[in-house]
Amino acid sequence: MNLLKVVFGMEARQLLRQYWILGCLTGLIALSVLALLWAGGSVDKRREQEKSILNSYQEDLHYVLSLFGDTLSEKGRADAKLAGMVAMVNYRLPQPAVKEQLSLAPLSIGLTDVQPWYKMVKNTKSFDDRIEVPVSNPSILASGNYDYSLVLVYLLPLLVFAFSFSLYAAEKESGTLSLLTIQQGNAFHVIRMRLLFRFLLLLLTSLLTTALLFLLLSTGYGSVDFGSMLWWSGLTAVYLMFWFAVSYFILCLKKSAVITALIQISVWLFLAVILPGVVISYAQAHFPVPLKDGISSYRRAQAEDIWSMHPAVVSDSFNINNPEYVLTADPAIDTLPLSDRYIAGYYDLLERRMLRVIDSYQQEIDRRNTLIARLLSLNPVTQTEQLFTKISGNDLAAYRDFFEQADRFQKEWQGFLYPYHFRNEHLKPSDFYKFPVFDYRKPGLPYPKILKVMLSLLLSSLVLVALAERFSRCPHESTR
Amino acid sequence: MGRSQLIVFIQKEVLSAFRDRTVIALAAVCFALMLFASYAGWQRFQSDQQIRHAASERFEHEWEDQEANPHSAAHFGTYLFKEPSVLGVYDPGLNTFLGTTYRVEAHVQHELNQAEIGETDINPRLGELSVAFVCQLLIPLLIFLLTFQSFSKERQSGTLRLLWVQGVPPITVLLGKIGGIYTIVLLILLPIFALLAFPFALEGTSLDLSLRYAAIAGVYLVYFFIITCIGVALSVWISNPRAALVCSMGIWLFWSVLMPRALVRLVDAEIPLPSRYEFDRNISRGYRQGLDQDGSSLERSKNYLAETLEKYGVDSVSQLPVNFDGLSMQYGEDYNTKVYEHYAGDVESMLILQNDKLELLSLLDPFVAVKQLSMGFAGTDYHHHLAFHKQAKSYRDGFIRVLNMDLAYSGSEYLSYDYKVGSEFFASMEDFEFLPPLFKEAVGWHKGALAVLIIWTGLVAGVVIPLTVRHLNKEL
Repeated sequence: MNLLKVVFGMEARQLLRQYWILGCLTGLIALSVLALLWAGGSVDKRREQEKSILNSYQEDLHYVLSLFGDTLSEKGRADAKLAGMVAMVNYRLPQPAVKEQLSLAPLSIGLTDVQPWYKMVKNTKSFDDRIEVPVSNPSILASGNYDYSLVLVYLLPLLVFAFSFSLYAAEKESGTLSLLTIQQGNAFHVIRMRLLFRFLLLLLTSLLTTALLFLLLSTGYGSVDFGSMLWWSGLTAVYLMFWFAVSYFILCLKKSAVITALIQISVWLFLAVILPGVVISYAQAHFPVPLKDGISSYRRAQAEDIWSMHPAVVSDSFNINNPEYVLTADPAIDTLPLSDRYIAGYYDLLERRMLRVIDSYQQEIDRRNTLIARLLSLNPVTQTEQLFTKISGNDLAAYRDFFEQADRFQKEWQGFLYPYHFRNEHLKPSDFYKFPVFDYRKPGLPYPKILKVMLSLLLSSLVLVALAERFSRCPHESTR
Repeated sequence: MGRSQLIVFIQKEVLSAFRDRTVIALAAVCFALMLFASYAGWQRFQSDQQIRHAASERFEHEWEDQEANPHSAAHFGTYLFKEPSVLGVYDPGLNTFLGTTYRVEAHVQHELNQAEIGETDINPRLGELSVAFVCQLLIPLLIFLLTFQSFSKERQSGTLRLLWVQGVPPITVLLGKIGGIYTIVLLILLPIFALLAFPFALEGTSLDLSLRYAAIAGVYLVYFFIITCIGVALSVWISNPRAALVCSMGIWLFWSVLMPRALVRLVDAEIPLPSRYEFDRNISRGYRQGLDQDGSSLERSKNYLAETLEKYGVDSVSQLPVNFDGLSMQYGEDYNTKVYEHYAGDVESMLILQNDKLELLSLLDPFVAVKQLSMGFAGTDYHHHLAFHKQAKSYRDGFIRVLNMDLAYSGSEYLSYDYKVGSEFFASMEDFEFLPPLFKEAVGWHKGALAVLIIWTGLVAGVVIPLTVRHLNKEL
């Protein structure tokens, strides 16, 4: 206990004397705040766009409602009649479905600049080739994101190395190592304590930085729940612990400071750069992302096939698949070419047929992504990064979930319009206030996944420390 | 300065480096990674090529194997696929972020869709593993590891003092160190560059392709020279090898990880792009309401009908000797193209301006300039993508025009869709053939980055080396 006090006291004095350590810690905080500001810029831009979509929709809605105003002139009456027509409502007022950004989004922006995040929903599902991918500069996308998760996942380990690479060499050069070996039998006591002090120092700085960023987030991006902050901080702590364990293990190899640094950099390169790169290159080479040519071709063929069917067949198929609308069926009208029910049946049948091929395409993509995830499942760097992105709601699953929600909303919108459509009834101004509204359901925190990654990091750290302990007892020391 | 003395220094440096197991291990890792990256890149190139060929053939076959009204056929449309660049094997550049499929369809101007990035969950933060990646990130790291103690080691062992006593000029020692380490880099890289030339040479090379390959190799060799000089200079200025190592790693991290991200954020903030929603809304509003004083789509249609009736000297559409449906649809297409080019042209100019600014800002970070040049010469940058898009769009406009004009002059009745053409007609339509941009065009697009690389070489030769020699002279 006395030794611990002495070492911690010495470390504290060194901390105040050696400006580079304070400089590094300040740098970490500065880089983190900068990361929040820059990534926050992306999120702010996106939020402005979200607002602009909703505002434009309101403008369009007011415009359509204003058409009901003039009931005196003939043109006014014609405009009002047209404004209430279901087809016109569907055309003029596609309903916005927007994936809102979580308040944690600026911490790890993930696929924010890449994935479509809104959909203008109409009463039929569209399978055309236009998707609302954000307009971005590919050169900027290729440069990679700069956010807090980059600082934590990629830069923090380098700081751990900077804080530890010369610990063994320093003790050896000052002669304390041989002295301690004689006095205590194990010279690594001091190194372990110094490392512990530095771990606590870096942990405290990272946690305080995280708390500061969460505070900034809650003032700029809405309330942030305490639970998310705890999980984020917990993950940061075990990740940091893992890298200190790696460092400790390398120090126990008893090499010179330069060789220790080289080994540390190699480990970082292997886990952060080379391993993910090799796995993804392998997947790209052997499991390329399939083209959607099959889907496009199928869509065209099915569209032509259904279009060539007799209207009665298409209308009947609609009634069978959508029994809720049978009551409004009128065979005399529905069997006419281009009747409302025929058109609805056309889209209904097309959707049913398309979903089958889209599902199989999606399965192929999923297989590829699962393979990559599996191959990288033991890599703490990619695991932690993915988890941070997941907590921030910017991973692929969050976007997929949004599309599923948008699809459900499309059915809701369809369910609202179709009864008017089949009754050949026009919407009144009061009906416009009954429109269903898309309510984005934010994904919850992935507790089991967080726990799993935290436990695996903890376990890996323990194994590394145990191995390091064994090595530290070996008498061999590098002379280099 | 004796030439033989310099050669002796270089030889000594090379020999001692190859005695160092760490250097050999790192060189072996880089070598292995480059070979793996080339293999994976080659596999990816072949599978991409195969998939796109098969898809092209499928759509070509479907196009020719139909009997339809020309306008229905225009709706049915077809698809064009971007051919992967063979040099993309070594530098995939922006391939992952760019679409590969172009839809040809009536009434709609499409962009290239289906970028791989949209379908992947895990993306390498620091870049895809490729030959370019190894050259941009790992070889500079290897060079820094070779250089950081090049002078401190001599200082500690006392050989540097011995050299000064013997009267060896500092510049000879410095150039000997730089030459020696650069020779090691060449000995590692030249065989790989030669080896990597084989696969695409077998694919059937051209002068343009060879020039591009040579230019890529040249850019990297210049970049490595710059890094070598900076690394050796650091070792002179910072006498403590640990501090020199930390400083070298700091520069590497700053240049290859932090600075590129900072520069793109600056550029993005300075030249903001419109949102997708704004862009789409502008296009649809532009068509509906008309650009400038062109009038709404209804007014434009009415005017066009009046002009056509007047041109043919008739009073109604039914009296026209042509099918007005085909003419009016082409008129709509032309206007649609005008609106699209107006708004997409703005975005295109913004993107090019952003890229130009980025190249200019690479004065602060040669890594960014090298990255731009490498993908530019490999044909995987935005300019090459744009070239494909422009040619595809131009083909699409011509394609739809042929169909509309056929309908117009077919003798068929207005608004009657009984008229049909068969596979002979569809097969006679011109196929799309992409003419890749020439090497000199790529040079022109990236002259900013080239200038930056030249400036950096000048800075190193004219400032860094003389200053380092001055520092060494003080040690004498």
